[in-house]
Amino acid sequence: MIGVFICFCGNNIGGYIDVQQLTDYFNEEYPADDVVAFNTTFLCSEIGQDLIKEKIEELNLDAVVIASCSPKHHGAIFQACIGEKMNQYRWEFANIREQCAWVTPNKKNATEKAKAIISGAIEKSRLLEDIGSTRVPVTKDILVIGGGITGMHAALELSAKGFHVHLVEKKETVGGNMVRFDRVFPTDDCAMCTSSPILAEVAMDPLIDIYSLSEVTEVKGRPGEYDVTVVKQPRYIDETKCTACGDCTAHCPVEVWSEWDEGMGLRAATYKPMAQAVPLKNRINMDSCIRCGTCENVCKAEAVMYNEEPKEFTMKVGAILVATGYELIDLKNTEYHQEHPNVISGLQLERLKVPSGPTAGEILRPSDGKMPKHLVFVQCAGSRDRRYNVYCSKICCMYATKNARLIKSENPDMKISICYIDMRTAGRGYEEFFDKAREMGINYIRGNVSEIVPDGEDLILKVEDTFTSEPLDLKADLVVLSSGLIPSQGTKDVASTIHLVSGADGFLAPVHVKIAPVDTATKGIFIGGTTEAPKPIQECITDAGLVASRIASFLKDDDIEIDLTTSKINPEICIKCGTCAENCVYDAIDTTGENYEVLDVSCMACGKCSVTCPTNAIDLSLYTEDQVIKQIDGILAEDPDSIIGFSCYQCGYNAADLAGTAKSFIDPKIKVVLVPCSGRVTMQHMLYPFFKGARGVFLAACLEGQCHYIDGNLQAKEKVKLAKKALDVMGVGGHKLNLFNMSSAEGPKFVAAAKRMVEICQ
Amino acid sequence: MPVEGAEKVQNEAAEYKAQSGENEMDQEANKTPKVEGCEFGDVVDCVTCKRCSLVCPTELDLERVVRIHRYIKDSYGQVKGSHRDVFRLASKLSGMADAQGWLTGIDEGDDIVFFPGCAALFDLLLQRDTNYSGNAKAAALTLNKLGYKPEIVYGCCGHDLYYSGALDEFELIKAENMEKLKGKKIVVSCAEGYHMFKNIYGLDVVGFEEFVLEHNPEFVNTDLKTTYHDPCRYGRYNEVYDAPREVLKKASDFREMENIREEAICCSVSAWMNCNKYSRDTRKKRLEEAKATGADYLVTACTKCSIHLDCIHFEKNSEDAEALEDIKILGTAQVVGYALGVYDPFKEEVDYIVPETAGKFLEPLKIQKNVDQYIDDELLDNAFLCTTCKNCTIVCPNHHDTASMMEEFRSELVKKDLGPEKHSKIAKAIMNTGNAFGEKEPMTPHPNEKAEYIYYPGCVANYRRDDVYQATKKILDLLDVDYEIPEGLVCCGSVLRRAGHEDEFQDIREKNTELLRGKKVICSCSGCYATLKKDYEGLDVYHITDIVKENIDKLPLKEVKKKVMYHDPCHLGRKFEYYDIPREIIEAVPGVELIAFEKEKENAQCCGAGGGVKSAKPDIANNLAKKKMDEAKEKGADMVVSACPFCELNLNDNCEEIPVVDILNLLMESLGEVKE
Amino acid sequence: MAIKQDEMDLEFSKKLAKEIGDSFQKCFQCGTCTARCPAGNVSQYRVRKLMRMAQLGLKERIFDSDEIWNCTTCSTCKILCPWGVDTVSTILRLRAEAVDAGHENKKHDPLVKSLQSYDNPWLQPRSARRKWYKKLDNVVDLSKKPGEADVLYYVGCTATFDPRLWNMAQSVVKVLAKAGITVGVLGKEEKCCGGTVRGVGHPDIFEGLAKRNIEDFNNSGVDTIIFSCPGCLNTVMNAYKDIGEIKPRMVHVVEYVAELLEKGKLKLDKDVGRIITYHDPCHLGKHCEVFDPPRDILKAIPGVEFKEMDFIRENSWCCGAGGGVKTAYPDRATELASNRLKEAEDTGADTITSACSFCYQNLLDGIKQSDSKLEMKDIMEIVAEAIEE
Repeated sequence: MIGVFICFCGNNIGGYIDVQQLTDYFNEEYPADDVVAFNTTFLCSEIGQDLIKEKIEELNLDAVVIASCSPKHHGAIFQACIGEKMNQYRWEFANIREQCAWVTPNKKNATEKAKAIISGAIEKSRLLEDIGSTRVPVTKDILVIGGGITGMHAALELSAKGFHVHLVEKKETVGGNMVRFDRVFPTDDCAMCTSSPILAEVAMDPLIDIYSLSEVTEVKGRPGEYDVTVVKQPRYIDETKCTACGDCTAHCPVEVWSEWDEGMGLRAATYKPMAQAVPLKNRINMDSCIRCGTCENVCKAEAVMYNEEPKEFTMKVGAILVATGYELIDLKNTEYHQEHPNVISGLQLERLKVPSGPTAGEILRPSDGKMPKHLVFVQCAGSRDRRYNVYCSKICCMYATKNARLIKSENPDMKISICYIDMRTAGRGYEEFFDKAREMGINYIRGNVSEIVPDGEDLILKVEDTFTSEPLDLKADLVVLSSGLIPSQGTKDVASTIHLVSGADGFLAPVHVKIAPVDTATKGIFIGGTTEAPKPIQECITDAGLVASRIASFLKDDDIEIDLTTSKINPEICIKCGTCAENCVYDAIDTTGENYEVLDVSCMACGKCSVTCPTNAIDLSLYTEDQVIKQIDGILAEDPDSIIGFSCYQCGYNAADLAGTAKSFIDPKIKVVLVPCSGRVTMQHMLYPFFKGARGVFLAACLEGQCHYIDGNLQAKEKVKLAKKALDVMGVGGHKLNLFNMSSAEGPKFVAAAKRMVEICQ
Repeated sequence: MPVEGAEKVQNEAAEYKAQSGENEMDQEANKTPKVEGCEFGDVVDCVTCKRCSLVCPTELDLERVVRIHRYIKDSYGQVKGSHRDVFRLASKLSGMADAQGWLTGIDEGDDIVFFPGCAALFDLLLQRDTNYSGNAKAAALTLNKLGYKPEIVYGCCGHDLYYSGALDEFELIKAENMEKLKGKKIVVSCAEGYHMFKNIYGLDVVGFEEFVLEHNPEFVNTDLKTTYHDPCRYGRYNEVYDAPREVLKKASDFREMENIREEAICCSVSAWMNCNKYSRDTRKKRLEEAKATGADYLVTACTKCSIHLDCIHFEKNSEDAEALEDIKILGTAQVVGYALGVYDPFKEEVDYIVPETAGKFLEPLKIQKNVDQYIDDELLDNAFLCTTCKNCTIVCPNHHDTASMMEEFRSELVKKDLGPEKHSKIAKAIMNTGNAFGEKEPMTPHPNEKAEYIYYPGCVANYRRDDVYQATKKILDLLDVDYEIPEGLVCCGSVLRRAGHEDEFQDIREKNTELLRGKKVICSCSGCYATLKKDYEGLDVYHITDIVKENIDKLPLKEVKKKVMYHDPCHLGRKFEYYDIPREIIEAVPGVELIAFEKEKENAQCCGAGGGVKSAKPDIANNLAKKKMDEAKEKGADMVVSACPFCELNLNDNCEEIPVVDILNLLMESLGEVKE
Repeated sequence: MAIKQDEMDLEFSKKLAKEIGDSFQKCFQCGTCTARCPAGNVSQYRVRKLMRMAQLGLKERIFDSDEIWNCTTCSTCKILCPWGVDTVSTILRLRAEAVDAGHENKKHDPLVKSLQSYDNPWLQPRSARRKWYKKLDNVVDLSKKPGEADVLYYVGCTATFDPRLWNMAQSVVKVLAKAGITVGVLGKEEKCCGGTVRGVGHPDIFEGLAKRNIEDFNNSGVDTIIFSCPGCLNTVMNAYKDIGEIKPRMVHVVEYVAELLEKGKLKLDKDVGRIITYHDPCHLGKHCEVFDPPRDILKAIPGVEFKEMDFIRENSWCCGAGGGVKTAYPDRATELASNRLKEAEDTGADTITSACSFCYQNLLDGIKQSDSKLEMKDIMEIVAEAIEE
């Protein structure tokens, strides 16, 4: 017996759909007689939940169908409610609010559409099975990748909670970008004064192990127990012996541009990046070392080891924080001409400003070491531009203003201009900060720099003063690019090593931007700071605190519970061809044993494994091949003229919900079938609706490059391409099958897709 | 129909032994080669390759039974093809819409019809970047080269629907195709299409290879090293063995594989039905055979064979894929096209286009499944011919459990009350009286609650072969085996399950299980033994010969000077690979000379009684028994020994000269306790 | 003057957005376009402001000012725009709307009338189209003998009617003949591509021409059409798309010749002894993305020392002639040409070359005006020089 519970949702559904008629239909006219239907004003209320629980018990229901709002709304509530009386996965939803009531103005049409949606849910619910859970032990150690301000802060927070932290840093020292700044806005504090206590604390914390010059090369295992391989590059100086006395640096004959100083100053082949380095040890950079042996001779500690090799070692951790941060976009050989010596980046300016830097805090232009007369900041250099970064880098307005103010106050005669598109100074004390800058006589020009034309050692900036509507040729003798922020190389490397999802901008994507900003789609792996997006320091610190708290709750017990909503393999028919394993980006299929097995804890339940299995041996729980087919059967039995829209859980379905929230019109022909990922949709799913008379089929998937399961939508794209051709060969017509990409926020795109499908399938 | 090839198949075991190079004495002791059998009894696992027909003692038409059975199961939605069933779906869709042209660069006209089939769809839906459709392209180009401008008719011949039980959809497609093809001369380059058009449609069709042979063209590139895989649809279905070989001999450097013509091993998937690890093993074996010939190309005349055999090449990180990398698959037309210089199978690009079509909106098919229309006397006849001897399983490329499949089909028929009357009577008798003979007396109990063992005598021993019953008891006593026969035992239900009376069987099983669970159960009847061991769950079952073998030293055996032949009961032999123990026991009797039947062990011929044949079709059971006994007579046996009262009953019925006795009777004689 | 509420015709703005696409609404007034606008450098024309006025639907203000007629359609703004706003299409659309509303630019009247009467903007009879090739004996008239040549050379009105450019057109024939290619033309039947009328706001006349041209092209019986005027090429290749399908392949002569050189079908063996710089025509470069073939050709000519100017390829400055500016505001066009010539002079070149009839004309005028010592040569003329007689 299947119980259908239909919600009026006050007027939200009741005002658009004849709920009573719907209920009667399922009780009296529906072809299958094992269906009973009930309705109530608010199903999510306690009264509604009691009704569900009561009927499950009274009628000994096998499955429940909830016809109400989007499962993204109250799905968890219903699951918990049903879970009290039967297996919590023995229910199926019918989204008749967002995807029916709110998008169908005609009450009769809406009621008919609701019938089809519910019928689909009923038929699918017949194949539901109990899904259990399992507990797996966890390791309590934590890996933090990246020793910037976010990584350091999170490490300290975690150690304070009693966890053992491995802090892996690619550079010679931890500290990240912040320790290279002069001062920080909006307080104009000295960056080093703020961060050096943190550096010292990290260095001395007995629960934090620091691995400098190290990179994570492999992560295997599952949430709660990751096996991590780290490679440490040689320092060529024995860390246990070096006292950082500096004798070697003093005697080293080599002088090359210093990376730490962004090429603004020089360093020797053996050096320490800064006096507060952690660990406080020298390093020989073999790219510049000439192996003259001088350092070896002068080192009293006998620490020099020219023949040191890279070391590989492994560790077991329960959770991972990725805090690999950002770097600046390189604008060489563009219209910004960053290759010109007097066009420098914001970070280079910081190095010039730092009192301990190469110019001892003097602003001297690189070409001739003279103080510039006209300094121009170029805002949005590589930001808010389709050719570089379409996004706003968030911090540039403030840091350019900060540096302009500091320089102006030290050099009142220097002319300073800032060319900008919009000044974005949202934040406590920010607007006041900007206000003061104008008062100081900093020249703000509203106009984007179109091109920087070198004119000998000087530069001419092509810009329109948009307030006077006049093009300007701005002559400058030092140009500072407020270059856009991009994900660091480390961020990109880690994303491919651990298979994390990046957004279109390359920054790592959280599982939900708003409500889960530091969690990733992979349980046990977290992100924070500028790994997620450009953001100022105080937000990084906030992230660090949050992420430490999230990790602590994740690892608080000795084991964690995992629902087995995973893929399953039938070993009897599996031919071990390896196709599924190749499709799985989470290495969740163990191919080493007698039979292939899904590693339940690693499986992310996207279902991509099952789509190309030649023998039907692997299938995904909750969205099995047959369940999806049955749902289509149910929908088309009520309305064969439908257009089936497979929508992915992360984007397409959300977009469809948003279209409803916006009360857009969607043709009632459109019927959404939820799938975890567009990559889960098989060839059969694409073709089958046509066999049953459907007018068209489409897939609503994430934007390319933004699939929450890495490449599901790209696989879907390939499949759709082939299926379209196949439909053409069969004479059905490939144009009736289409794939649309949209983000979860793009309701209008779903509306457009639906409209397009209706046009095509007329 | 058993044909010449049968002989070879039957001697596979002997060959195996010969290869191992041991002398004859040792061979006897040597363990019989294991049949790596699978327990798949589902009807979708049958590949309809007809290899079983080589050995079936009752010559039943299995392919027909399978088709109708699938039709019935399809009506429950239980028939699912591999690859998520997408290929059958594609066939249906192609039939509902108007399939479109995809061959390019062909000089078209109306000299003749060329039907290229569905290969383009397979290339697309397999998502593997393949060019199986190249075979049709090569065939069409060859026709051009031979001076023909063919009219190209696109569509699906419906083979997969026909063989997967989608018979209604098939009829629709057939009707459409008939419109297009009637009265025309058709060339096809695919064995499935050939078989369908020739035998199921009854059209004037000629295979591509025959067509080429007729025109005897001059081949220019004959350097490919090839071997040929016989597709079932060409070979066993139509006996087209020579044409492809002749063509390949002329067009390439040709050599033969080990299993060819009638004995050819199937590509192991048919009509996109189930694929599993057994079919994969079969394919691997086939490719290894091909590789052993030294050929570079395994050529076949069926696109489906090409696809299935090629499958292993697409496995990831597979040692087998690597090992078999250099034996590639081609279609015969591709080889011919290449040899004629009109087609290049080695160029990278896939050479067909898909035109964008306006398409039409499809109305869902309104099909009412009507099983009755396909059930006729012939089908019923065939359905109850099977003795469940499992000889077919031995030769089946996938070692598919055909007997279980037959049982399932019978149960479908019995549900419709279409089973033989005799069977119903027996079933009724069992349900009423607890035994197959309708005897009022219950099975004789032997109370002994403390005993470790239970002796389960079974109906035949209990009611008809008291000698066996007594002998068992006597021997158990001699061996100091403490046993009981609980009160209330009923027939094991073997006949019920074999004959398709499934509901009744379930009842019986429940009754007996309750009495038998928890103790070691000894059977003297092979039928009971097989049923309790395999069809029941959770019982600990032994055949009496197991017990005897363990303790044979305890028996004071005396000389019996007789020539004895041992008949392997199917339910003991093939079902459990239980061949050696009975023979060892017989040979332990001093003076006995054991003579072998020509076909023995896994190839042994059934006595003919099993599966309800004895009751429903006594003539057939008698004939088979006679055949068997004639051989015994010819070989001068004094006695035929078996380990199944049911076999003995049937064999005895059909021979007066030589006694057929149970192995226990032989022991009793040796012990000097024979009562006449 | 204050903007009144009823001046803002948001329906007009919506209509534009629909025709131009999403990018129309994306303009966020950063001024990148205006800062680098060649026309804006010599006039009061401000792309950014025009875009804003269009977004606000201030159509009367737009029609009343002469701003929209200043654009040379060089596309620099569109290429530089951070959001890829299709400024050029917006301006063409606004011009068409202006004409529709009776606000046409009177200076374009003779041009439009000529086109309506003679199928060319030069007030010349159709028969005058044959003049340039009168002395050549190897040109086939495909309108009479379809299919009897290897390629169709679509000369375009400028090179047909301006005798200063005849040598350029003749050079094309000479170069192709050297490679063994028979050149066909449409002779008297050739018609203006319509690019100019489209540019000055008459899409209807343009469409009529386009239809007839498409028919001519498809009936010519060749599989390649060669253009020496990028304006024509851009119009035919990009603007005809919505009107009809053209079967033959369409290439600019520099692409075709570069191919011939690469395949070794054409050999250049005469030393020309020039220092040459190359001016990218906007319609060839920015619109059709042909940047490398002319450079490859120049590098293959013996005795050419090739110099690049500062602003090249996508960043090239416009010569100033396009978009009807030369007709309406000849002085501004020449001023822009002079700017460009100055840049060319700075490279130390003695010859400036381009691959466009329009640039040719305008740069020639610029040389005259500014007394430059540079010599103007079309790239095909230089190639012809390098061919041994």
